[in-house]
Amino acid sequence: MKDFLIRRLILAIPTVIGVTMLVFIVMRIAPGDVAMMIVTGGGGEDAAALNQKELARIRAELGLDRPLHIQYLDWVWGMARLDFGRSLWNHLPIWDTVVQRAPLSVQLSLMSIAFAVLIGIPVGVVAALRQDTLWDYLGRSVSIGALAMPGFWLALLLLMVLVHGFEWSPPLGYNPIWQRPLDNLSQFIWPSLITGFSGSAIIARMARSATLEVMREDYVRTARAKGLAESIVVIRHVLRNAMIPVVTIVSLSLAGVITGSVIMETIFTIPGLGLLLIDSLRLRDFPVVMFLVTIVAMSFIVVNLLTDILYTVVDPRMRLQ
Amino acid sequence: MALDSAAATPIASMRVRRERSLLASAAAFVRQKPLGSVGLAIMVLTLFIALFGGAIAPYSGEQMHPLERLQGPSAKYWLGTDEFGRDLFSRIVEGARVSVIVGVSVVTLGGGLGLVLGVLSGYFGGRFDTIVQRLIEIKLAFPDLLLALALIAALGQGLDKVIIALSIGFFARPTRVMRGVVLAAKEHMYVEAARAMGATPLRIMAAHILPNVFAPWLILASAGLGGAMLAEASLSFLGLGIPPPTPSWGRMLSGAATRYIQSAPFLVIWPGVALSLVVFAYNVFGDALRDVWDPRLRGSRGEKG
Repeated sequence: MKDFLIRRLILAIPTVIGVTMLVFIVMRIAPGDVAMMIVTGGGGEDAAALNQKELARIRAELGLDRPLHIQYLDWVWGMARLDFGRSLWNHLPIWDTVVQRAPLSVQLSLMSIAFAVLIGIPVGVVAALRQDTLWDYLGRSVSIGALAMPGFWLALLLLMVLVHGFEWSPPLGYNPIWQRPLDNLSQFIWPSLITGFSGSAIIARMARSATLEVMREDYVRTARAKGLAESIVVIRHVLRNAMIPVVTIVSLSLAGVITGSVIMETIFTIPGLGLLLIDSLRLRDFPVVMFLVTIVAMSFIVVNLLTDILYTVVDPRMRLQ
Repeated sequence: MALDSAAATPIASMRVRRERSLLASAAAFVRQKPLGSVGLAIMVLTLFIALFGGAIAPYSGEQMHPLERLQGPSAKYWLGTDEFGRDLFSRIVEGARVSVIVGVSVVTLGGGLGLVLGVLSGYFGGRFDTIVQRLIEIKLAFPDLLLALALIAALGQGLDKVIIALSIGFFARPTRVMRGVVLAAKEHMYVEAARAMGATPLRIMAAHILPNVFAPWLILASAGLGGAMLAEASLSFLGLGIPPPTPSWGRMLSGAATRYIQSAPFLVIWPGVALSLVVFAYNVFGDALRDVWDPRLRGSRGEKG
């Protein structure tokens, strides 16, 4: 177990380095020159031609005139010292903005995952336990639909119903859950329900096929043969083993939840990190984009690592390999 | 003469049998996988619309009728008009072309790259394989849409940029799967025999290994098509995909559609229906194909239907 952990940790190092290099390179091949944009205020190159000196000064100020590898090392070293730089746009430290906005995105993502699991696992398990009945077909239709219908479209339809039918209006501003829990929930419940529904499709499919597989195992037949009640067979023998592969899928569905949250934040105007990312992309505020993309990638590497570890905890057979 | 016909008959009968079996297997597919067949039908229909959309659409998708803005469905405008008085039906028909172009190109480019990398790294192994595996791990650290957003920010907007960004996102999975298939295929006796006979690596890969790879590749491609179309729609919806005025289903759902959500709900409904239907079709067809061709891939997503 210890060897396994150490090996996985060492394997993650080149990935982490590669991720930072990729983010850096992608952001540096961008054609839109930030310095140009600051000088002209987005007014085009004619204005910039008049102001070459100013352009050079801003480039030097931002450190954009140094060799690329120096810029890269400087950026990585900054992050290692927890100095994440400032936004090119409002010159505020990126860290402050992120700390302020992160709780919203974290809450949205956690609620989305909760919905995905709460919808996905029951739908998949019931479909498997009642294989080839109406329940099975119903459950599978739901998951096929969730897979095909884009979240942003569902969100628009839902908004249409809420605004049109119930005269619901999105609460203005953000209300922390410990201060005004009802306002907070009315803001977060709809976007997270939709992201969760989209994410439930893959979990339901996995839960169904895993449950079906386990139900054919000898130990389930043995459990039934020795006269255990069906509910105990299902809870103690079927579900316990069927949930092993589902654990991985839940972590895989995290990608969908994060991108889903980005889209939901723009639709429901929740000022979290997703909205910050989209705004910064439009404004070509590269330090902010680089920071956000790197953070997401790093958390994915960590989640993948944790999933592997969790897998060995849930399924002791894996430890032997 | 007698000799002639004797020689010709077995060949002729073989050909007839083969044609019948092809037809029979198509019929069997429809019987076994009704949902998959519906998917195939929608796919063919979409392809037809994408190719001959100009002949089907009553108007040009970019033609404005300023006096007839935000009209409801009528005999003149089957699905109504948008905020510039553009015919919604024509725009949806033209949007099909964008969707199909993006889907097919992404699967061909990204899937092709995955095929080549996967076969090479599976066959040769060694350092090349290690490098490819590390590359894939780096790629897998980014959610697809996030990577596409970053790449679009770097490359700029446009159809070609969207295709490149999504292809880079798509190549990892086919590479992994192809590598696995090749690793298994390499152990077959006939590959060893070919090697013993002195066949070059290129010949072994092309003649003996590629046929194994074909079915799983097509299965991944079919599922990837739907995903690529959804991703393009999401990018365009966020305003970071296909720039206006080109009709894209995703962009049609952003901006004006949300502003006129109460007075003209059809602007929100129809592009989404078109998009969902096409993605649904590719998903169920991909599943059916997988069940028929390669039941081993079953499990992660898929059942009868």
